[in-house]
This record gives sequence, structure tokens and C-alpha cells, in this order.
Amino acid sequence: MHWRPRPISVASCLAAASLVVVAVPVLARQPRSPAAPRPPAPPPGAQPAPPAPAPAAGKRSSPPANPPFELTEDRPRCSNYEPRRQALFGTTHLHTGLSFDASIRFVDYQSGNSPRGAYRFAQGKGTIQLPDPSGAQRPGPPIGGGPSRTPKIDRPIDWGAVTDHSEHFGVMGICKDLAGKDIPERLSMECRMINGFFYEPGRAVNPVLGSTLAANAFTQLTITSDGAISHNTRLPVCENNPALCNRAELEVWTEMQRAAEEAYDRTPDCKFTSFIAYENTSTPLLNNWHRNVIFRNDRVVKRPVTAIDMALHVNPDPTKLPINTIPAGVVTKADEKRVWPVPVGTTVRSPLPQPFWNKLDEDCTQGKNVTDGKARRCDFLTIPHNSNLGGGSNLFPPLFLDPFNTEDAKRHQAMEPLVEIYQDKGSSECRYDPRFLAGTDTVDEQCAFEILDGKTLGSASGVGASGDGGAAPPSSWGERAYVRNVWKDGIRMAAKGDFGGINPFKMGVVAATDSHTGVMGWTPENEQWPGHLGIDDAYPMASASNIQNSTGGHSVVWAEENSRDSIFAALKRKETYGTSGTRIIVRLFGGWGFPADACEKDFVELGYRDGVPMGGDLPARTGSGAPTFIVAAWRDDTLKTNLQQIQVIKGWVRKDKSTHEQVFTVAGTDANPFNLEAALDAKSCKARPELGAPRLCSTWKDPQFDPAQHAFYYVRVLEEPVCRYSTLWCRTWIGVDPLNHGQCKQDLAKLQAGTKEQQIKAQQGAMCCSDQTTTPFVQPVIQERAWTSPIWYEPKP
Amino acid sequence: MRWLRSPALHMGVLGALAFAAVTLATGSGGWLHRRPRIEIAASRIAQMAGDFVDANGRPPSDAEWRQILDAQIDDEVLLHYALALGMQDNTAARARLAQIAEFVEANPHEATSPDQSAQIAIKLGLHEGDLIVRRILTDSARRLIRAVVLLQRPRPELVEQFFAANTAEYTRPAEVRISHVAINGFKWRDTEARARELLARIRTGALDLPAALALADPSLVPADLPLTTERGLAAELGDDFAAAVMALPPGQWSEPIASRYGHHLVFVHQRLAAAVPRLAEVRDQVEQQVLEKLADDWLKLRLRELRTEFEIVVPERSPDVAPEVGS
Repeated sequence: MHWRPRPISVASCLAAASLVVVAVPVLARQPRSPAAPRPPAPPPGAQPAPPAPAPAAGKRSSPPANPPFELTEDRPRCSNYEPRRQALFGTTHLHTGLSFDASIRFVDYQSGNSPRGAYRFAQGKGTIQLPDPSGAQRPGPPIGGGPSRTPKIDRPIDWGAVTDHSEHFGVMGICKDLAGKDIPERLSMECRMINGFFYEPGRAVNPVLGSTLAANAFTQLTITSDGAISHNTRLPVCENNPALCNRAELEVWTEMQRAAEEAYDRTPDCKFTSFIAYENTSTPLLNNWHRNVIFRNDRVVKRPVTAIDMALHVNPDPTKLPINTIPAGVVTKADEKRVWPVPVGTTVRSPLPQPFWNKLDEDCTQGKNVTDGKARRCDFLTIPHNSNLGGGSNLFPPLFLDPFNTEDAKRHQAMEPLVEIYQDKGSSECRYDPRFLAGTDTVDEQCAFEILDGKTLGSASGVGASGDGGAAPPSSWGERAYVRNVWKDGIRMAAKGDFGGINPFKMGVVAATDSHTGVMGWTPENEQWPGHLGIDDAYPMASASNIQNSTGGHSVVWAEENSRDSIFAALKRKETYGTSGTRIIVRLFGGWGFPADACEKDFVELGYRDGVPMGGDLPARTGSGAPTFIVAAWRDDTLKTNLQQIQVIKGWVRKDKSTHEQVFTVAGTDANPFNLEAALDAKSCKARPELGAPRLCSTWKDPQFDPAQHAFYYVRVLEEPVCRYSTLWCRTWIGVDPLNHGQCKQDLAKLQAGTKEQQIKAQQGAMCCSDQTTTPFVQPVIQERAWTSPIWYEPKP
Repeated sequence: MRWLRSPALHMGVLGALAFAAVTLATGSGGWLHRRPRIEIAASRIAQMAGDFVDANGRPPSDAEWRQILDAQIDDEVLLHYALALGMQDNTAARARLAQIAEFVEANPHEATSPDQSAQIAIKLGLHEGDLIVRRILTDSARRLIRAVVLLQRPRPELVEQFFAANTAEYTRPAEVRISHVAINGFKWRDTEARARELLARIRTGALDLPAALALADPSLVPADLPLTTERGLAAELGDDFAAAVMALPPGQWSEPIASRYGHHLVFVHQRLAAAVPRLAEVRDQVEQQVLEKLADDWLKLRLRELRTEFEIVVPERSPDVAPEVGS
């Protein structure tokens, strides 16, 4: 090669300079807004400017200097501080190109799919880059049509946490050049998988091959390192150069902290709150034992505590024992402190959350290994997700293990106040399968909502195409695969007094997307769904497990203001609910004597004064009555789909310690969940406007209350039916209509027999004609919903 | 004129002529100057076009064909640029080259140093053919070009210009301070009619603000709200309510406005127009965005400039990947 580039010429420099001058106006996104003089923001606690003719009553007070939540950071209170709390929509779970399993699907950190990009996306400040089906990163409209690969959020959210997988942070740091450029380890097999070197985007446009290779890479990267009880090792590239890997891990973790700090609005405007967070990815035999870790503020652990730290014996020699087995381990005296309160001598057949919690507690809460943040102290909580893929069937234990003793039950309660009930990979509330006319410890037909056919991560969400061998009866699922059953088991343990009467599973509710595409807060049901996993579901209707991905949901907190301390306190006290993606607003209060006409009054004041909000424990019983609940819900203001009904779901324990559940419709009208099309305008795919109501409210008293029985009550709000995103996707991009099953099959068959272009369409839409009777189970029409945290009742001895 | 026959003069003239000829011929734009040639392999283009057909079931349109070609040309130019700068000598590329040299070495058991192996690979031209090395090199070149901009601090006047041209992104939104009479949708079947009735009472009785607010139902939202943005109002009372209130004139009671709770009569006390913060408050954020934009634009410009230094030969489009009529 004799050619040498000419030095950059003066003309070129001038061109660059002129580019700047020319580009700036071109880059302007919107016309200039009128500027107006504005008084400076008031200092914290200051009174607002005196109103002209202000009323004396019903006035919102200015933010107090000492709000009712612990202050761990010095910052001005928010100008929209609301002492009676406001619903803030956010997310506790989202991945970017810094997660290994996103990166293997060509979700590319270096193309801007990063924590920074995700936070900007969530605030509506910009688009984010997704790979096209070939893996290439191309700005502009996708070549050949289909959903945008540079999507923009429909409505900004208020807060969020990027939770990239902490496992392989070190490898990611190496492969993504965060540990320095051009180091030889970048050519390791790990980086070849993570950076997609196995598959050249733009040169081998074959999504099926790419997807298969990515699934294989996922399995290789996950099985060997994220699962087993005593075989967890870091990947070879890290074992071979631990110093480099540790440095790389730190770089990634620091980058995530920086991105969160940049996105956090510390001004009184309080436009957006970010949380520093990550996901612990314990995946024993591909069972999902994942937990998100959310830190309260910018004082966080110096090093994430990962699945590798959950192994009973860390880093044995992987050449001496088979890597894909989980032998039992016995807790020895040497393990005692690390796995406390698991007793010495206990035989363990699964990873343990205890060392994970202990290490976080020690490093963070006790302050033994924390970063130098602005905040005063470190605090955290952990949120398990996807119990629906978390084991409990066959021989493998469920994500929610029995506690070992009373101390351990307390530990569960303290560390894990919340559970993620819904996300892209389906609902974990409960399971009812109309194909079997049966449920997993339930007969609640509304549990036939976004249920998956697969039982592990190996067969969900595109990792495996076709599920665990098709439809399996609900009885084959472990009952603790579903949160309602876990709650029932929790009150049973408390009732039996097994662990000092402690309920280890007293968890509130959040929902999220878990998207691995950086699209923080994106949930609408439309044909633009950006997918869950990069190239794996660039054609989301092509495979059985991909079409079962939903668009995910939102976590909602009732908090005084949009700041870290206020939101974190709401998460801790479980004053939270989740939605399946729409922005329903729900309030729930429990007490002992709310008036029957509470809905016509200021029931928020009544609720806080005389009762507890969602997530609380009913106050001590007064008198001889039954508990009363005020529950109100308002429809999503933008989408305007009316509400069909509000349900209170009660779980309780009888004297014989058997658990039971019942669903009460307390407002609105109950309807058949298997004839949703009847409530739909099939053309617009929206609910018929004459059905339902924009708001519902009820004061409900438990008609079957027995003061001797432990119980919980949570609320489910159901909207009127609308088309699922997959229906709109199939109509728009494939040209078949899932609402008309017979015609859909005929049209798909025609495509299969048609031109080459039509045959490809048929492949891309192969699952479009699925419904509640097929495998995969898919509802072409769905009822969006919200689930609140329960309110618990415990009899006083 | 004996000096005209001087051999020294002849040699001198001949030399000058030769120098002029060479300079003219090989100088920039000279007829002997040959720009390096980049020939996009027909097989590669055919493969990409074929892949496109496989994926989409149709040939690429003209615009799509241009996109395919452009991506390929940019990659080739970046590869040549990286090689000219000696980027194949960086550690990662050499390690990979050494690795692939072993595959083709006749006697792989014979010890050679990684450096020697890498040299062998380069001699064999493997650095131009291996996809991984190509990607390392093109990525590195792309980043190097962008780094020229990213490593600098943007000039203050550029930051100011960018800030001025993108004020919408930084603008603090308009705010209003209101009082409202709420009519509770859980109490009244027809909240709009009730609101109209109350409005008539306020107007005919010329009620002052406290008296008007006393007509309201108990509400979940305080009757008097401090300065609030449209987004804040929307979060509290609903999108339609917020949009309607932001358009109200101050100093008078509104017609009934629907919210998620029912209907309201609204009195706007104060309005603050949208305002742009001082640049100092958002300077870091603006600087970073300026640099990112400039780096992107600089990369495009530099790629355009680098292209001119090559003779780029693009294969003809074969008929089987020609666009269909009307595409």
C-alpha cells in the first residue's frame, strides 16, 4: 500500500469550520421558542410568590424542609412537591448495548444504544439506534420497510433505572473498549460473540442464521457463568487476565453511574429521576433467578455483587467438574458468615440469594465498600422478576425459596420489598390456560393474560424458538412460578408460625419492559414495536416464543416528588403499582370504617388519615367490623380507552392452613375474557367507546371477613379490550388479519404459495394467526390492566 | 554563438525540460498521476444484493442500491485509510493477524514470533481479506476521525450558536398558577351541567374567589395550585385539561373544562411564558451535544474528501438485482 492520505488541507479545515457554522442552524430541531424573563427559582423551602387573590383553604403548601421521607442527598425540593403524593410513571428494568445478551443481538453500545442513550430516550430527548434485521446500524428509515430502527418514545416517563447485566461487565468493558483500545483480549472468543464477529452485519443478511448464532452465544455465555451453585466462574478471558477484567468491570460500572448522574435532574424542576442500578443474572440451568438491584442515590457499591457471588463455592477449577451440572453443596463453617443465616450443614441444591444480599448489605448499607457520592449513605433494594420462567417445576426449585429460619424470613422481607409482576416476557401474576380450561392453583380466567408456553429462559423470548415442547398443562408449572401463589404461601407461613410468624413474601408490585434495546419506557400497543432483543425479534412474529413477547409495562410510585429519596421511599414502603403499558391511575386505601360515600369526598385525605395505602398493613382492628377499601381508577388520559372494571383479589388462609383466593368485581361490569372481540371495533382496533367508563370508584367491605384468618387484598383494574400490538403488526407489515382466524390462515397460505417476496412475508409473519387456542398462546385482543401492591391483614395474637 | 553548442547548456536545458515534464505529469492532477484504485468486488456486491433479495423478496430500489454501494465504498475507503496510517500494526490487529497466519503457515509447528506471523499474514494480504481485521481497522479509522473533534473543547461561539439554534431542547416550559372549582365525577352524573350551573352562580352573583371556591366539591387536587407546567397539570388532572388551561386568558373564570376527575371552572392568576435558561446552567450538556454532532458531520465530510483521493470502480448492476419497474 503506497497511498498515503493527504494531510487535511487548509481548505478542508475551512470546510470543517464552515460545516460547523452551516450545520448549527440545520441541526436546530424546532423553531426558536420565545424567551421571556423569569424570576429565579425559589430556594428550597421558600414560599412561592404571593398569589393575587389567593384562597385560604385548599391551597397546596410549599415543600417542607423536613419531608416525611429520609433525606440522604442535599438538593432543593421539587417545585411540584405534593404532600398527598403523585403517581410517577417509570421503570425499574431496562437494558442497553452494555448488556452482553443485547450486544450479541447487535444492540450496539458504540452506536449510541447506551445508558446515556436510554435516559435521553426516556425523556423524549432523542431517538435511539437499533439494529436492522441484518444487524447493521443504519440511521434513517429501514431499508425494505418495517418498524423504525431509530424509534422515539411516544410519551416521556418520569423516572427510570438502566439495569444492565452485571455479569460480564468485565468482558463488556474489554469488548467495548472501555478498558482501553486495541487490547488483544478484544479478539477473544467472548468478544467475538459479544461484538457479533461470528456474523458480519451487512454482509450476510440472514436473520435466521444471526438469531440462531445469537441464541447459541447466549447459552454459552450464560450457562457457564451465571448459573450453577458452585461452578460459577468468570469467562476465560477474565480468568486469564483478572486484573484487566477487574479494571474493565469498574469502567463499565462507572460509566453507568455517570450516565445516571447526567440524567438526574437535581434542579427544582425535577423533570427526570434516574437510579443507579444493575441486574444480577443468576440463571441456574436457564431458570430465571434474576434480581434487579436499585440504589437509592449516588453512593453505591464499588463493585456489583453478581451471580458469581451467589455460588456456594466460588471459582473452582472448571476443568475438574462438569460445568453443566448442579451438584449439591454443603454449607461449611467456612461459608457461615457469607451465607448467613443459612445454617451450617445445610445441603444446598441451588444458588443462594443470601450471600448476594449479605454482600450488598455489608458493602452498601454498612458502608464498607461504597463509592464517594454526594449522598450521605448507601441504600438499596432488590427486585426479582419473571418467576414465570423461574423454575419450581420438575426437580428444580423456584425462584422464591422457602426461608431457612426466622432470621432468613426477616431477611427476605427486608431485602426484597417488591416483585416485578409483568414485563415483555409475560405476566407473572397468575396462570389460567383456556386450552386446558385450568389454571395453576387458580380458576381466575383473567389470568389468561400474556402467559408464556416456555418454562425457562432457554425457551422464551427468542432464545429458543418454539417453547418447551408446546403447550403444557398448568398443573405442570410450579405454583410459585406465579406471584399470587407466592403471596398465598407467604401468608400461610405467617399463619403457621413457621418462621416466628414472619411472612417472607410480603412484596409489593412493579412492572417493566426488560427491553434489551435501550427503549426505556416504550410500551404502546402498535405496529412500531421495537422488539425485545435486537435482531432476535426484528421480525417478532416469525417464531413462537418471539410473538409471545409483550410490549411490557410501567412501574408507578405514589411519591411526594420526583426525586431519588422520595421515589426510593415509595418503593421501600411498596406504595406502588404496575401497569401492562398504559397509564392507568389507581389509588387504594384500606381501613376499618371508611364511609360508603367516600368516593364523593376527598378520599385521599380519608385514606391516609384513617387507613393505609397500597403496600401497607391494615392498622389494628377496631370494633367488630370487616376491613373496608377505597379503590379508584382513572383511564389513560391520552389513549382514552375506558375502564371495564375494578377487581379486588383476596387471598386468605383457613384454619387448616389451606390457602384460598377470590376475585370480586367492585366497580364497573364483569365480562367474558374469552370473547374480547365483541367489545372491539375491529376496524380501528380500539374499544367501542360506549363501553366502560373513564373513571371508576368504590368503597368495598370484605363480605367474608374472618378476623382469625391471615389475608391480603390487591386490586386489578381492567381496561376495555384493544388489539394487541402483534395484531397491528401483522395487519401492517404482513397483510393478514389475526382477528379473523380462518381468513388469516388462508391469507398466510396464499403468501406461502406466492412470489418470493410473498414467501418471505409469510416467514416473517408465520405466527400471525395464533390465538388463545393455538400453540403459541397469543391473544389478538387484550385487556390492558394495572395491578396494585397488596394490603395485608394479620390477626393480632 | 558558440555557447549555444555547449554540451553543458544542452544538458541543463534537457534536465529542466525533464523536470518540468515530470512535475507536470506526476503532480496533483498531472496526466501521469494515478489515484489509487478501489475496485469494489463484483462478487461482494452480488452477495450483498443477493442477501437483500433473500431478506426482502425483491431487488433493492435505486435508493437502496445506492445505500448498499455507499456503505461498501465507505468501508473500503476507511480500510485503505487505516492501512495507510499503519493501523494494522496495532496490538489487536497484529494478534489477529498472527492467529490467522498460523492457519495458512506451511509449517505451523516451527516457532515464529507473533510479530513474524503477523508480517507473514500481511505479506499474504490477509489483512485485507479477513473480516475481523477489516472490522477492527474500519472501526479504528472511524473512531480516529471522530476523535479529532471529540477530543477538543468546542469554541464558545459554536456552543452559543448551537444553544441558540436548539433552544427548544433546553427551554423551561411555560407555567401557570390557577385556582379551580372542582365538580366530582364520582358524585355527579352530569358534571358539565353542574359546572355550568355553578359558573352562572359565580357570574350572576359576582362572587369573589373564596366564595366561588366554596362551591366546589371536595377534591383530590387542591383548589389553588402553584406555578405548574403543562406536563405537571397533565400528570395531575389529565392531558386535555392541561392543554385547555395553558390556553386560557388570565384573570377570569373559564367555561367548564373536563379533567380525569370531572369538570372544573378555572381561574388563571399568573402565567409565565416559556423561557430559555442561561447557557451557563446547561453548558456541559450543550458542549457534549455540539461535539457529537460535529464529530458525525466531520466523519461524513472526511469520508467525502477521502473518496476523492481514490479512483473508485463500482461494478455494473446485474439485471437480476435491478429494481422492478416502479420501485
